[in-house]
Amino acid sequence: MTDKRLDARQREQFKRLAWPHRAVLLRTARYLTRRDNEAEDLVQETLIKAMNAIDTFHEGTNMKAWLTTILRHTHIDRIRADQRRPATVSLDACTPMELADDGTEVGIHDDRWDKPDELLNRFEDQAVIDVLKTLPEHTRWSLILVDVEQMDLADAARVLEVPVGTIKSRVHRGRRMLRDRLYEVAQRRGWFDDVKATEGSSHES
Amino acid sequence: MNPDRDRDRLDEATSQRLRQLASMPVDTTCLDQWKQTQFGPDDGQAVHRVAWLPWRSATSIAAALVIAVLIGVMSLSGTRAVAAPLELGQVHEQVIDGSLPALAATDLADAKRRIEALVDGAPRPDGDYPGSVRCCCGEALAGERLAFIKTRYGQTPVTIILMRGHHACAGNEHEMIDEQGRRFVVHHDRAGVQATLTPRQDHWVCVMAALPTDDLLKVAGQIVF
Repeated sequence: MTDKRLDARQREQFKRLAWPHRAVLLRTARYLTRRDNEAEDLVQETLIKAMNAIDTFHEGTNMKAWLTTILRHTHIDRIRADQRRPATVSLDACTPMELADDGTEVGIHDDRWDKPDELLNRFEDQAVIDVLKTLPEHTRWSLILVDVEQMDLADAARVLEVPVGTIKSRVHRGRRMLRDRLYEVAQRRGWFDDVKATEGSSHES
Repeated sequence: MNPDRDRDRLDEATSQRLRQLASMPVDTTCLDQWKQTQFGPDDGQAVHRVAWLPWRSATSIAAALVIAVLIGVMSLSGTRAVAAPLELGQVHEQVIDGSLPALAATDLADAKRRIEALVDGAPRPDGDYPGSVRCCCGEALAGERLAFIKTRYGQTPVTIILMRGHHACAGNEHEMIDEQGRRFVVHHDRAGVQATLTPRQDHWVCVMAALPTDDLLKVAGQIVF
């Protein structure tokens, strides 16, 4: 599918209004898919749909939210299409961090969260992304829109087609889950061992 | 301690950390190329390609160097986004059967130099490695740099792959083994090849060989951190 049916005005409108958001779409798509080429395909399909529907966009409203809605629907369609295909064994089958959300917050009363910024900023971006990608999809979506992309709650609710209250609770739960899992990554990396050792030696002295 | 206030503070910090992800550069080269096919070239897209030019150049240079040294070797085909053990297994097989372009290295120091020259930014071996280094290479998996070294344990070929931390995942069938104060993620392959992954500060070291777990851990344990 191409934009050959578009006239000059529609092309100009697409390039001026939609195209500047491509990086946001690609970033979002990468948080939703396993592979970069899947994300690129997803965004390309989203942009084609947006291009062909550009006349339905009301200038002055939120283009980022409009495009993200298309991206979400396209992503859902792709997942459904995949589910209809015969089952195959993926060579990529991997579970980087399949941790259950048992509702308890790990280490909330732990002194190591005294300086949360310090601890969270110690993680490289990719580690945060890896953990983000382990969260349930609806939770992940909420965090991507509200926290990463700074979309207001009302717009995020429209994109995800849920009430604002649902977004709020998902965001809150999602942040907690993300924190829990990062905390466990920090433990695995032995970041707290140094603290323990220091504490131990200070007690000894 | 006020749990609600603590939670709000933690929430704010978590939100802030997530917000920082939006400042990560996004390579839109693929989309820019697609747009060019749709609309024709325009001036705006050059800006978004800059970030990828050095790496693409490095790849080309690496390919040229490899071809110059080993004529007739196959080029690495296909790219994958996440280096799962099965994919690393394929890299291992390609290293062993010689289908992955590689340079002969005389020793570890030579391997380090060659990897550094081949791919800028590839993780570099920074410790001692067991056995003699047979060959090395800097390559890309899904555009990410990785380096590998081929060595031997007895008569069994061993591959040591170094890759960025986020490009390693444990796979569905794995066990965690703590030994000598280190954690090894051991993945068992149906074909008999086993992998053990060990996290470092910013990358993973993956050791692969058709060896029993104990022997594999012995090899991995010899790598000096």
